[in-house]
Amino acid sequence: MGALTLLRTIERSPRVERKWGILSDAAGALATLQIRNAGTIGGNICQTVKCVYYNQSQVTDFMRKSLDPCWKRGGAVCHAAGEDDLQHSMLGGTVKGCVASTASDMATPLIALGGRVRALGPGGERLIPLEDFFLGAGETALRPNEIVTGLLLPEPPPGAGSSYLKYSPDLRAHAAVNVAALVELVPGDGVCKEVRLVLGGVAPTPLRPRAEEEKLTGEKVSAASIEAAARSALEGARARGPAGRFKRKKAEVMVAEALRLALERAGAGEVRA
Amino acid sequence: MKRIINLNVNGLEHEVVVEPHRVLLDVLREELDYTGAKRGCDGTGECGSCTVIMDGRAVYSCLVLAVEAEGKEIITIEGLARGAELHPVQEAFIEHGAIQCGFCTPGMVLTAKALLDENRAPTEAEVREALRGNLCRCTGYAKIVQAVLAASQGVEAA
Repeated sequence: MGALTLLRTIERSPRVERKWGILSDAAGALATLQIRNAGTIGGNICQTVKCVYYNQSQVTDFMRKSLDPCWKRGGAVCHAAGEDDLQHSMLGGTVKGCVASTASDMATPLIALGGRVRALGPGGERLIPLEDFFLGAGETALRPNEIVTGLLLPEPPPGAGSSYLKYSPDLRAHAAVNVAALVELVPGDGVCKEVRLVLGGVAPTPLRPRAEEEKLTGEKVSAASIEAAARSALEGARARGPAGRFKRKKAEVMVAEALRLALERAGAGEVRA
Repeated sequence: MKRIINLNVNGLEHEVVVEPHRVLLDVLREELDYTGAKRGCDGTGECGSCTVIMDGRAVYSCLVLAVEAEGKEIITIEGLARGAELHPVQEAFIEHGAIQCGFCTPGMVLTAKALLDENRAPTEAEVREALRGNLCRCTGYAKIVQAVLAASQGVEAA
């Protein structure tokens, strides 16, 4: 997939919908029609953070407060650090003082699909797994003299079921939380051969809870084990007030729902307790 | 340093001299007098009132550099009607009371046209989904959605 592929093309392509459905879903849920008609996949993954304290571009009395520049702007403060809101990470540490999560919605399904970035520099091309591409604080693994020329996406295992869910308080905004799940079942007995789970918006970079993936692998999954995985994936999530508590709960519910959907689509039927 | 570019707007070629940083919205409004597209959110791509159709795609002209638009076919609201004959979407907007102050209307109509050009019989959900990027402060959207659905039936029948 070329770096200049429009998000709208990804949303509408029958081939992408068929083989990499969660990519289409994610593209379709992103921003607005007009933005998807101009935005590209390359641009989307390379974007910086969308933190309001970093941008300070909102023309409200917020802007008139003239807050000191943050760590990302060469200052020595993070205004989001003590705040209770839906927009910042609640797991993991800071990256160079920054608690903003990766702003790219497409990061989440791309990681679940095992995609790799084609990065071209003076030394030639190298491939960067998307899981290693996002470094936090709006930075990517690209070197200063490299550009993204495209993405390589392996075909998911045949019969695998996948799902993508997004939550944001404004439908036009990037995800406050998004989840991508991919499940492959052992044919015949409903046991999980492989589980991939990615959470966006809860940590500085997209979160891949490996322990929870492993717990579900090799098992015949029940509603109870899904709920347990969802709770465990969000364990330790910092919630400073009602917004944080809502976000943590919302993320848990979305993880459970994403796993359920992926299992159903993999042919597990309805998952019972 | 300014560049001379050719813009194809509503079927007409225009030669304009622009700095590379100028956005299409401002060049359309200020150099070419196509004031249908509006600067509703100060060029941040948040309101949709600057929507134009470029090579068949609805885009925010406030986020397109004028130099990027060279060689592309641009349609603004001014280019929809054929003399006194309005486009079916324009007719439907008038008939269904989908216009109050009219500020969002050019963008709404063009997005609706782009939708119907691609999907001749959208569902209500698809119409609402397509118009997600066009805000209206007056109507509450109900009449706009009704107008688009009515226009699609008209287009279907045609």
